[in-house]
Amino acid sequence: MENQRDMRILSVDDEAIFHDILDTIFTVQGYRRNLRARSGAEALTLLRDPDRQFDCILLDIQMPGMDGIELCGHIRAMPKYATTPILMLTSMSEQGYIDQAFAAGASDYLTKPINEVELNARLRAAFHSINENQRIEALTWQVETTSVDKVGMRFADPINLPEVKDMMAYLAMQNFLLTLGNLRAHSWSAIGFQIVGGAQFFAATQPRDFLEMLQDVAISIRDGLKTHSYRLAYAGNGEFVALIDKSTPVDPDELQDRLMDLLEPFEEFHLAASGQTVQICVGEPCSNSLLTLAAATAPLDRALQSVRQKAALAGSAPIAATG
Amino acid sequence: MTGQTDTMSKALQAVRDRFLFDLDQRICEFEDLKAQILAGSDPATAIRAAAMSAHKIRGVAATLGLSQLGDLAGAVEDQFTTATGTAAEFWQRAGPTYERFLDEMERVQPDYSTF
Repeated sequence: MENQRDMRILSVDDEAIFHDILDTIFTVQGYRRNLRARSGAEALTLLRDPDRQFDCILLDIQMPGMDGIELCGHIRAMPKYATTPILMLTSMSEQGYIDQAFAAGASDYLTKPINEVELNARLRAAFHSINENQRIEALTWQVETTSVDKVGMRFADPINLPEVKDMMAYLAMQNFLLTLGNLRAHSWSAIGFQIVGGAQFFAATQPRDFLEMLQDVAISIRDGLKTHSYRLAYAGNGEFVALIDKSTPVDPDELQDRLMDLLEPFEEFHLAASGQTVQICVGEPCSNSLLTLAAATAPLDRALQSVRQKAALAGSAPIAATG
Repeated sequence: MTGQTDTMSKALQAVRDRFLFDLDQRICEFEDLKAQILAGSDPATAIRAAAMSAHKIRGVAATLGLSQLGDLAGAVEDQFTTATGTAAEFWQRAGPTYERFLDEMERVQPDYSTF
């Protein structure tokens, strides 16, 4: 698929007139392959049809019967739609709905009234993520089924780790913060995690071993944060970012010690695979001030900078993007 | 229409006309729901139905350039989804917004008598 207007889009909304609006916008903008569903049940029937494939899904939230958040969860549980962009298209702008939608696997969140320019921009972002997801999915498949050296995987790739529960794609995490905006995003702080020597591990091992190591680290971070309200994403370059609710603050040094304990059971495997044990560096919590002009996503970048500086100070080489 | 280019506004005009044409039916539905709430036999069901119907208008109206109608639909939805107390008490609080919402629906309707 070379053009975003070739995307096969499924729109789910119980309001017929809203479908008419979307169809009109799609027609004017040149999208030709959109299909509508009036309920969650109808959408699931279409999505389960083995003869159909959708590239992008738009979901209303407030619908009779199954709502859009529940539907989003069902769609994410379907292997063929595990990474398909899901855009919530809704009048519900309250933070609770935004939190629930991203927790259920939404990729992006757009509030009504719909603006054609903004919708087109979000669809363009979805289109780019489809291509990237397809490349990474193909890589993951190759990694799991062959032992071919590196199979085109780059250290910088923000690989999805679908086998680790409760993780989100890094792009979805960015969209989550952008949707909240600075005021509401202020209740979250971002913390960066770096796999010390991750680049060396990547260079020394087969991709499958590298993926398994990432999963071990993700599981350890998840377990280390289990008493907190958090979101976790892999950002590529051997680095993770967690968003943590500020009402349950985190001490980075304590967390770092805890992660080392949690990684101990995996030590033998990591040593055998790469000749080195895996160590984690945890950066300082970062958030925007309430009156900042910085983008709502700025804490993510600052969290990664913080952990890189801390790792460098601790004597390890800072990990730089490669490939 | 709000935030739309001229081309898009023209394209959406037909949808807007259809929406306005159907408003009569929606007004009747809202009047029915109001009667059910005030009758008091099962006000909770009627309140939920009114919130859901207002929600639908909220999402559509502003996209079609009817921002005031969209705002009032949003206000009704918000009040009706957090309804408390008896039907009479609730109506005392939420009734004025509901009436303004109905008035606005009537106001934006085209005057078909001149056709």
